[in-house]
Amino acid sequence: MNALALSTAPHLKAKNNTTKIMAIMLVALLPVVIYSIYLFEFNAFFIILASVITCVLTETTYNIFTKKFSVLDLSSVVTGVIFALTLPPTVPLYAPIVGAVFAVFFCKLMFGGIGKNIVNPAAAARVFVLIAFPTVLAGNVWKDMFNVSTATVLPSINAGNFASNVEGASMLNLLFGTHAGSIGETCALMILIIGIVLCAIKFIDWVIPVSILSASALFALICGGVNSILPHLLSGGLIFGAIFMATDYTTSPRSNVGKVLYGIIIGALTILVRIYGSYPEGVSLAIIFANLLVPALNKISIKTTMGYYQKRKIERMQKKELALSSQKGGN
Amino acid sequence: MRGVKFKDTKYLSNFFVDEIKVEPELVYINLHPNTGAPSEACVKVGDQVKIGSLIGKAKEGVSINVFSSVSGVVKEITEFDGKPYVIIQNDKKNTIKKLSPLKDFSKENLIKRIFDAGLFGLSGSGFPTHIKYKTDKKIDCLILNGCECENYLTCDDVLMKTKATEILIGGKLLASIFGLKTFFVGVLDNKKEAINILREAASKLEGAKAIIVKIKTRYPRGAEKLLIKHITKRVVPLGGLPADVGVIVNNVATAYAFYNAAINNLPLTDRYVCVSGLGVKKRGTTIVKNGTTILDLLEAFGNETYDTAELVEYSNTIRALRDEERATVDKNKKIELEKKIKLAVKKHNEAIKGEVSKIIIGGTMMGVTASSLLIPLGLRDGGVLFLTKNEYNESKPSNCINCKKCIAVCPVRIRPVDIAKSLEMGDFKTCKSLNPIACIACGCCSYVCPAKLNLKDQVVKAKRLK
Repeated sequence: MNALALSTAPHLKAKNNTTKIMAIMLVALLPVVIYSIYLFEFNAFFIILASVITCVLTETTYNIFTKKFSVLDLSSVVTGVIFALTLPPTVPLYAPIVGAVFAVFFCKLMFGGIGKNIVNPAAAARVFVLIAFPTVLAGNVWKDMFNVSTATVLPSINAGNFASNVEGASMLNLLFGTHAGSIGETCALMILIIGIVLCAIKFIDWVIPVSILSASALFALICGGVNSILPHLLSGGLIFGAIFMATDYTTSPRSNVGKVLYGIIIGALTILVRIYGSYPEGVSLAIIFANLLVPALNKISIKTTMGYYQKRKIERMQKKELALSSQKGGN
Repeated sequence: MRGVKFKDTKYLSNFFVDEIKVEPELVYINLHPNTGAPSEACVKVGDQVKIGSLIGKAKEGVSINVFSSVSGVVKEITEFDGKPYVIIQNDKKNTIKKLSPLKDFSKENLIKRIFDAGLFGLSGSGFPTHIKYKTDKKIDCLILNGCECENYLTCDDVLMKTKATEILIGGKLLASIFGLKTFFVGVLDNKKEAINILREAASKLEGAKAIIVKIKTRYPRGAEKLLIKHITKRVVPLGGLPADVGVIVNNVATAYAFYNAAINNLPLTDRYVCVSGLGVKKRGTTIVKNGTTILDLLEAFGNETYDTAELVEYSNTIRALRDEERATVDKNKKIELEKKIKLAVKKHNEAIKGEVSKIIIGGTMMGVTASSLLIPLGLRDGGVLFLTKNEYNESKPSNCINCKKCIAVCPVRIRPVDIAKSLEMGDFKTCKSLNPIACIACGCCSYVCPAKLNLKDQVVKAKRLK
């Protein structure tokens, strides 16, 4: 054995790693988790716990069989928390458990583990649960936690009688989350603040959430008029999805043009599903659809390489000169 | 803001150590330190040489002259790691052979002097300087690069502090080749002392105007093309040279070497080298002759961290064994001797006590690791770092999580992750269209990668696609 360590440059590396990134994500999700437990009490707590434990156990079991230890990177915990936060608080515990297994095993591990999945595991699991257990998840059976006779706003928008319901769930209720909805997506204001902080520390890219929200505002304006913009933006999982799910590193595009298109696709599809589709909520569906387009979106990019345009300019000038000289020669 | 920022580590060695004189027994002079063709050995075994005697004659094209850095006898002409070396026994008399003095400072004479003195890029690129000046393009700007954005390295910093006037006179002469009256010196603002000294020297400079440009500290601000963009706002076209936009960039060490060559008639034989890192107790920057081994340097610095006597003993046995191996013709005996050498090298490396676990020639971002103390330093190497385990980090690469940090950090705006992935898939057409040729091998992408992937190596590999 050689006493001196050998390596290729650079020999110094930043003290950043995947586990740290996941830990920051968990810290960012913590206020949402705490607020949801405050709002929905033990219902929320048990759903989140069941989802996280199932996710971790699934990955651990898989690790034991494949003898590759990857559970310590906390990514399955993040998946578990995000997935649980997209479920309504009244859902029976088997739904988060089945969904968590689907998320971690079928959507992540089967593709080769962290970084290799093609769709967001949490979004895919949410859609899976929505299709597998439609009765417990459909918006119109969501129980109101505050004994006020309002349902979540979205089914009413879907049914077309939006105006009569908007008084029941005022904008203030939507902002502070005191209305029926999924566990984590209720307090729009808090999620927005977290999102702004995450963008400010450059943890997530601001292009994606901004393009999602502006695209969905535009489509809400086109399809439902001025009055439906704010309810669409603030209700349901739009802001939660835009900040926590669509910005998932693995399943979002790499080029800036791709990011904008990705955001527009998600925003537009969400509104279209909400208004014209048969499901009350379209964020997860839109995210999965856009995820599948990411490899194509990655190919659309503007070349920003230093000196690339200068080189092109020189080449063009040379061509012109050549053309000129050949003309002269012809004459 | 692209690029990365480090904790300050320059304070470890940013002073000149007067009392230390490095006098190696043997020097191993590389005849191919530059990019381009190797020079041809023009001495025989047993020849007497002086400091400044020509030992490697430049071939045609991109090649340089190589000079002896000590006075003594040529012991051997051999090959290590595929590069030609001349080994010279030092007689420690330090007799000097100078170049013939210049008649006048005309353009032709100065360019010929650059070639005669064997100047080449001392900042690490190793590009022969005379090729830069033989351009037929119109040059209207000369920049001296004193940025030294690399972590730990302080050789240029100390050079600027001690030889500011000489550097500026060298710069003035270089500028006069193109008839320029002003030139720029780019220095990062973490070298405040050097900036003050240079500004003072610039105010006294006669015949030309030197503009000292203070640049905000960030790695890799000292990269040639980025420096040009910062100072002149011109962008070098992809795959082009600075001369394409009318700029020539030289390291301050090259300017100092040119001063020595033109005024003192001394060819390039030594340079400033810093010894740094927490693995040694005595640190600092000093003048080191071309071909000195790391061990000689360590011995001269007299570090208590090492039992140098033991190290010297081991290295002597290794040298003796190597001599014996070269002398024998018998194959079986050769294999046996090779085994013995390996064992001796192992023992020698085990004798490196203290906490040092990595030796780097150059900086932490672009340098190379040394596998033993017997490796000779060339003129391109500005520093030797003895790092403890706490100063660098090693971790296993994991899956790329597509975090795009490498794209955000890249100073030349290429997409390292895309290049690495297309290279991995064998999609060379896409790979080439992503312009890996722009890569300056700064290593920022590997530095920030949370999955600890060695992206820089992949991009450099992709750069070779023609």
